[in-house]
Amino acid sequence: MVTVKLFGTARLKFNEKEVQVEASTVKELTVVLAERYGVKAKDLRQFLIFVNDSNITALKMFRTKLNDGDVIMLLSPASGG
Amino acid sequence: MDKLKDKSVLIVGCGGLGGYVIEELSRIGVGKLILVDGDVFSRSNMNRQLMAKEETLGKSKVETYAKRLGEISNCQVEVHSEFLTEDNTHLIDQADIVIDCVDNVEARFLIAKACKEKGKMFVHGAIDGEEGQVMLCLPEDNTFEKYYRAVDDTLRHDTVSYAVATVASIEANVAVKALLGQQDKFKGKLIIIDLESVFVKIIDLAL
Repeated sequence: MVTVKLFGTARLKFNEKEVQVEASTVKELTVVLAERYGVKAKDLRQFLIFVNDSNITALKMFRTKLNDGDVIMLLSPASGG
Repeated sequence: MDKLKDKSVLIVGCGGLGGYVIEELSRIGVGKLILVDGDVFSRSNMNRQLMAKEETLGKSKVETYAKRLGEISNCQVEVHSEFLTEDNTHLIDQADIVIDCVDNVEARFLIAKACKEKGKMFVHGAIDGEEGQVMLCLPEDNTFEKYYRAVDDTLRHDTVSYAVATVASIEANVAVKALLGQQDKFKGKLIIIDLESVFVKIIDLAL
């Protein structure tokens, strides 16, 4: 089980700030969340995704493996001022 | 803070974030503030904007802040009662740094584009509800554009006063550090502020 923290647009769109998800890779995580929220997984992949504070661009992108206890951040900007 | 007295800061947007940034930079000793905003105060601003009060309703935000600065500091002030557009980005030319305090994505992209073209650094700050973010954007990097690829400007929470003050204070802090030559401290970093859970986190975007 991993913890997913949502920020900005992600939090607004899905009306949740933190969820627990069973997934073994980032790709699987986006599929599980897409089903949960009724959106396309490719849309979720537009967000910046961090695993334990590392951008997946510096890891293995969507093939990045997830382990129990990992914290994933789905980041997208707030835009008000 | 004598090192700041020769510095010039352009603040785009003098509403929620901008109001606190103006107040803090003037009090810390920045020599010149250039204020750009074509808006006037309205009643809906009163929940979060420092100078929004009964007697300023309907009045120019930049003129109101210029008057305020005259009361609290020796800071030189230049006001432009207009919104930043493609036609007036020359206003950025004389600034050492630009601070993004606007409230919409289109204006933020304009600031990012103009600052890149003119070789200026800018501090980006934004809020929504109880969360927000701050970034120092240097002309040679693309952190702003990459971070903003997934934004949806149609979704908004009501902005909370203490989130405005917190995010603005961090913007002012980052701007001062950058003016003092400490840009590397924030290069490529995203500062996330989540006051719902009282959480501030600095992450390396590593884009």
